[in-house]
This record gives sequence, structure tokens and C-alpha cells, in this order.
Amino acid sequence: MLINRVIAGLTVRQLLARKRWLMVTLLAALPIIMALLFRLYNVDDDALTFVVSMLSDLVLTVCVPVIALVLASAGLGAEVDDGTVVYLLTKPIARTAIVTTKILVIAGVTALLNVVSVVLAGAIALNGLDATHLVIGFAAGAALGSALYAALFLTLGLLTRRGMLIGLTYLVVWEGTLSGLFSGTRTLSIRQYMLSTAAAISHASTKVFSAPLPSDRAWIMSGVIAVLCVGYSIQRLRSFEVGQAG
Amino acid sequence: MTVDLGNVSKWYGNIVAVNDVSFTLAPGITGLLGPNGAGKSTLLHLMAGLLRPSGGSVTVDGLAAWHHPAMYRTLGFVPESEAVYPFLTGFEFVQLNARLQGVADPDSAARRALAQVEMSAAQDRPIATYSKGMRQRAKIAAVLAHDPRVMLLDEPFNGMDPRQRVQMMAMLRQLASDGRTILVSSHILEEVDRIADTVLVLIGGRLAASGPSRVIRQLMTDRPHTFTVRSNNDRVLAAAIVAQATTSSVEFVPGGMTIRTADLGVFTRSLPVLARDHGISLLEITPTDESLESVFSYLIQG
Repeated sequence: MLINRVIAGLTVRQLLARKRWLMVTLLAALPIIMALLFRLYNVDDDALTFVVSMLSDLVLTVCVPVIALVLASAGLGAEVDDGTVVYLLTKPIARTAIVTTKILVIAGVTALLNVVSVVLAGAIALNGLDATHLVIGFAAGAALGSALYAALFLTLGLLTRRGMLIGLTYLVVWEGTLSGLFSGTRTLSIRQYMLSTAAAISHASTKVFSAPLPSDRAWIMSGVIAVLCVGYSIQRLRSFEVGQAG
Repeated sequence: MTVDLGNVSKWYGNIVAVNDVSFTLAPGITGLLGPNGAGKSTLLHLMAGLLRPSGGSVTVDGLAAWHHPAMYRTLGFVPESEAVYPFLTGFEFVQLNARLQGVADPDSAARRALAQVEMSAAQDRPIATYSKGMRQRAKIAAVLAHDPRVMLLDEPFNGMDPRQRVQMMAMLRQLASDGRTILVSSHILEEVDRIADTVLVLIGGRLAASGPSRVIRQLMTDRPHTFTVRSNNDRVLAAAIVAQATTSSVEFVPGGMTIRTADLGVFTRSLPVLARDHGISLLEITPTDESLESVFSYLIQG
């Protein structure tokens, strides 16, 4: 059994505890607020250009990874750090199920917040303009990114106590700076996979933007990263040792 | 149901936390006694399947403890760490553990377990508001919820007041009399002495002594004791004490004399008699080596 319903319920409560729900909801609401402001003050600007840059620069670059990072560290990293993970590990539950349940819940909550954000912000800013495929494309990209970032950050949290710091460094240094410098780094950037997905689906109706990474390569790499992260996390938790000298 | 340890060792790099320990836990209460840093927690984590032994074997009812989640149906582990999910109430926490264990009726199991540790009144408060003693009891209730045959408790009396301690000891004794195998670790001799049938003494990662609690207590009291004594005539008193066969040495020190005796009972009974017979007033008697560490270091040498 890959999903444990009790662990899933516990994880949702962990993700939303300590006013964390407020923080992630505000982050997800940011694009919607931007869209409302655009409608109020920039009615003459090109709505399509605005939506593309808002969804790629705000949602895919900031909202998706930061929400995934916050939730992944709350969903397992904190539990490992403070030792409460003992209450999961001393139960007749396969450690594989613990990892897969945690990843799916964190990915699911991250995706839900971001997909709702993309759809609402897109609908508000486009104001009836027919660009459904564009919105669907970005929503699909955000969902893919949510799953990949959730798996990556959860793996980092199991790998080291500084998982959150390493995750942030990856976002700022690798995805923010290096992947813009030369094309080779784009192959290892979740942000580029999201953009490729968005572009591939949007292109069915409109050619308003393009992604530098071919979508087939992005999807193969997404699969590779997902399998590596899930596989490594399972292996890591299976051999995870709890306890100190004393 | 038994827990068997065969030549178990655990080391972290160059640091040896548990060194070649062998014993069998049988039904009843076993006390694991040792000073802080002796390796008690490491040993409990090994038995709970949370640490992989570096050498030797740990089995619970014949099944290796490491990498066998199925054994948690029969084993309950109460960690020393106070960390619990702070956003849950006491009831939710115990019920969560029952549900994770797959207990048929987790609600009534949680209520029963909380009543057992006298926490029913506070069960709907968030754990974040609990005192240390209440958290300990909630953690024990979480284990009781699935009614395990083997219970491992790491320093369970920490933070409990004397009344709670007495209540908890009575409860554990009741559980043991129903045939459960219970291990309680502590660094306090009296706690272990009051509750355990068998005592294991762990020092520096090694099993220094093991046996019925009566024998271990005797081992700990039948050892040389040192006292600092001050009177209104130390020289005359010293001469009288030295004349006793059980006195090992008398040494004058600033502010009195240090007396080493091989027999605690003889010394404590004869000292007031000697003082009275010689017309001496005793001003101060202080045991100087009553710390657990000195008791333990004696056991190691022994």
C-alpha cells in the first residue's frame, strides 16, 4: 500500500499548523491580487503579455517553489529534526508508504494552491479574452513543478538538516542565475520543465511565448528526477536511524 | 514474549555507545540503570528497531528488531524526548497512535489509555499546553492504546511529581502482572529499585551488573563508604574508630576527619555509641561519595 490515509491526514494538519496556511495562501493569492490590480489600472496594456510574464515570473519562479519548500520542510523535515518522526517509524507501516504519502500530500497541496492561483489570476487578467490553453498550460506546468519541487525538497530534508537552506540556494543560484547563462544548465532546472510544459500546451492555440527547453526532454528529465527523488527518499528512510548516545 | 540481545554493539565512528551487551528481557519489569551518557537511550533505540546494531543481534519474539515494522504490533516504545505534535490535543495524539497501529476502535482505545494514565480530564487540551509530567503520561497512553506485549520506556518518570510517579509505578506493575515484558530506564537507583524485578546496570556502554533488584541493591550498599565527621574531640574519636575491624582508614582533614569504612551498617550503628561512651559530641556527619557516579565507578571496579 503506497498511501496511508492516517499519515495523509496528519501531514495535512502539519502543513497547515502554526499559521502556515496563512503564509502559503497569501503567497498563492499574490498573482490574483496582481491580476486585479492590472484590471484596475492597466486596462490598455496587452493582457496576454501581462499574463504570460506574471505566470512565468511570479507563479512558476516564486510561488510554486517557495510554497513547495515551506510545505516540504513542515511535512517531514521538521518532524525528522525534532524527533517526532519516531511516532511514525515505530508503527507497523512500511517506510515506503510513509515517504510516498508525504510526497503526494505535499505535492497535492502545493499543486492545488498554485493551480487555483493560475486559473483565477489568468481569468481575471484576461477578462474574457480567449486564451484557455495558455491558462491550462501554465496550470499544468505549475502542477508538474509542485510535484517535482515537493519530491526534491522532501529528499533534501531527509538528506540534511540544512535542507531548506540548500533548497533556497538551488532556487536562487541555479535556477535564478546559472540557468540563464548557458543552455546546458537548463536541462537540470525544474523551472524550465514547467515553462516547457506551459509552452507545449499553450502552443496549441497561440504562440505568445516560447520555452528554450524542448518539451520532450523536459518531461523525460522530470520523470528521471521524480524517480530519483522518490527512490532515494525511500531508501534513506528505510535505513534511517533515530537515537543518540546517552 | 522476550527480547533477546546477543553481543550487541553500537558505535558512531570512533565512539562506542554500546559495547558487547547480551541479555534477555522476560515478562515482568526490568530496570535499566545507569548514569547519564551510559548508553541507555542507545540501547533502547536498538531494541526498538530504530538503530541498526553495529554488531550482534537484537530480536523481539524471535524477529530481528531492525527493518521489521511488523514487530511494532507487539512492541511499544516511549522515547525520552518531549517532542510531540503540538497542534494535536492529548486525545487526538493517542487516537492517532491507535489509528496508525490499526486498532479496531481507535476512539475507545484512546479513551481507555488516557484513563489508565489519569489524563481524561486534560485530554481535550492541546499538548502544547501540557506540563512535562502530562506529556510523559500522554506519551505512555499513546503506547498503551494498542496494548503491546512488550513496552520499552526511556526515563518515563522524568518530570512527574511524586504522586504521579507512584501512580505510574502501580500501573506498570499491574501491566507486568498481566504478563507483559516491560523495560524502564532510569538514572535514579530508587526508582528502579522500587519498580523492577530485575535490574541491568549499564556503565560506559557495558553491562556492569545484572540480577534481581535485591542483589543489585545489596551490591551497591555493601561497598566501602566514606564519611566526613566533625566532633568536639576528633583525636579521641579517631582512636576509637580505628580500633574497629571494619574501619579501612581515618585521615585528618581541615574541618574534621575522613573515615573510610568497609561496612556501612556497622559504622552507622557504632559511631553514636562510640561517641557517647567517650563523652564526645558529634557536630557533623557527611557522606562524601553518595553520588550515583561513585556507586557506578565502584561497580565497574568490582
